[in-house]
Amino acid sequence: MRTFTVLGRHRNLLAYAVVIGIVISVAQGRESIYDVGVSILVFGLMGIPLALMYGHGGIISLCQASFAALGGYATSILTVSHGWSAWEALAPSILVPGVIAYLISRPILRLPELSLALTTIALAQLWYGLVALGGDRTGGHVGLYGMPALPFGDEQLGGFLGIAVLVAAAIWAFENYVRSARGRALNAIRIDPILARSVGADVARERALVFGVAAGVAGLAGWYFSLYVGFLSPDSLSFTQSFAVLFMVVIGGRRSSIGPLIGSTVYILAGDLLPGGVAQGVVFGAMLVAVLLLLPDGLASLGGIVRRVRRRPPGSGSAAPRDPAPAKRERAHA
Amino acid sequence: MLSARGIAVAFGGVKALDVVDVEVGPGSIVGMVGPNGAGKSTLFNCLTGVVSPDAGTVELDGKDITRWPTERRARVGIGRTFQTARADPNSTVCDAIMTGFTVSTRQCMLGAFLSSPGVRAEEKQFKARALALVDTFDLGNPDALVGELPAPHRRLLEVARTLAGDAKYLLLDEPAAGMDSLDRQILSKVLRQVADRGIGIVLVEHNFGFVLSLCDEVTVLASGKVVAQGTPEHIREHPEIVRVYLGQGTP
Ligand SMILES: Nc1ncnc2c1ncn2[C@@H]1O[C@H](COP(=O)(O)OP(=O)(O)OP(=O)(O)O)[C@@H](O)[C@H]1O
Ligand SMILES: [Mg+2]
Repeated sequence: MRTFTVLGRHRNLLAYAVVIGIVISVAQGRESIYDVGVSILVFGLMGIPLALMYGHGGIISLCQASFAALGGYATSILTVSHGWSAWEALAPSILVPGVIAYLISRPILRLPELSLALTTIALAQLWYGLVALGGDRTGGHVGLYGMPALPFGDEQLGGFLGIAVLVAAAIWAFENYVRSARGRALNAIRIDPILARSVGADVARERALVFGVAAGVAGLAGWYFSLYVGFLSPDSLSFTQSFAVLFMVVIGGRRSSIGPLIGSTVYILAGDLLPGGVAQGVVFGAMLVAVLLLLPDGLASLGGIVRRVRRRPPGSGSAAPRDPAPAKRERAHA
Repeated sequence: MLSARGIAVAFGGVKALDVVDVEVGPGSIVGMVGPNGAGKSTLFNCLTGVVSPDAGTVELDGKDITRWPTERRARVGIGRTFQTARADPNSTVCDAIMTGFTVSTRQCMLGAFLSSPGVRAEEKQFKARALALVDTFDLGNPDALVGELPAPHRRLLEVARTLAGDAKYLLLDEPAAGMDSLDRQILSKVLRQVADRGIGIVLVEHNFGFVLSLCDEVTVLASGKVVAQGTPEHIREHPEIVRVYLGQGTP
């Protein structure tokens, strides 16, 4: 019974583990698959906390890649200029963006959705400018290189497993959170702030904390990314990537822990298959409109829809799932 | 004792509340009746901090809480329902009730992400209590979606969520609207039990008969003013009330 509920809660994690297993077995002798897989997972690691923050908390952000860049630059500067090891740079890469996001969240999260979206774009531009004009410290427009390798062994498989485990942890934590009292409060805040406050939720604090955590996890993605590529420039993790992450979350499913991964898979694979930027723009644009109109909770919600349709007994119409409550009520109170 | 003294609220030119005094003590049920636009919901909004009054004070056990934000009042034990049911139609009945535990949860953020043993234990306890409330209010399948519930059951659900918060004072805005006698029976039985546990209740309700039979005290509001205040016996004989309400033959 207990194992069953734990599995039920973590079925997305299980499905993810199966897919990772399949990828590893397919990639024997075709190591380039790992490169594609890493791209998908790095975007996924930025997207999963964004799904929590946007899909559950209603907080939109177009600077998720900038927070990853903050983590990446913290890692790069500490390792290249100060001789820290990759592991030593891990905590700062999470804490720097996390704390900065938490501090700026109090004023900006009061804004309505559109203003918030614009503000996060402005923050991304500000950060881009600071890095580009940072001179030797940040490497300016050219960027920084010479970081140590990822601490996951020399094989490509090691690097892939490293990010795969980080993403697994993110899925696990996401599923735990949305089933906790804190997760319910976060959802209540999105749906109805007045209701949330009248059940005791501190709206500003809950939102600020989630914003901070999302930035911290993005920083972790930045840590991995900068060490994996061994190079970081202002354009590596810029506004374009922030927009892509939001796109993936919406396409894949903003309420689901694996929605962002579905989205990043679609994005990366379609990007590899489609010829030029124009074709990509058309396809991605059409996809976005189609999903927003037909599947507001993204591709990940297809599974749930199929399950609901199948559970409905044939010919009983839409009222079928209603339980036989009336009969029970009469018995209890006749 | 939760009390509002000299509360005045104006929206533009409309005097929604024009110097109103109301109080509710532990264990008593205060009925609040009055025509549409009388200011009943506005009074609840003042008591809970959703609206800040232009004049007057709100006190809880002698403490002035007039300027406290809503969530802080919730944490010292003021729970409420809303006139229009506010639970998320896409969440399950059980989850909607469990939202009410927000006020008493001890889960820290890290614990919630890691699903720590403490969080798991608390969630188990919340779940059990929510299921008991589903049973109390006879809401049927706890995994049904809120949106699938008929409107009166959604109102019972709102009351259940408020009870989950262990409030010392419950403010219920027309919880019985649209209910059949069966649901009304459940509701009045539960409210009586809750009051017997020492919880004070303010109940907005249009059905005079229901209010007079259930409440220990009744306040009649009209156009932002208190028209009558007293025990059900007193109200039943109040000449103005007899003329305006009871004379017309309420159900
Ligand atoms: N947010 C608001 N902005 C402007 N006017 C308001 C607002 N809230 C209430 N009012 C006005 O204040 C007056 C009192 O409204 P309130 O909702 O408190 O009445 P009520 O007694 O709850 O009525 P009902 O029985 O219809 O629920 C009404 O004239 C209403 O139009
Ligand atoms: Mg009202």
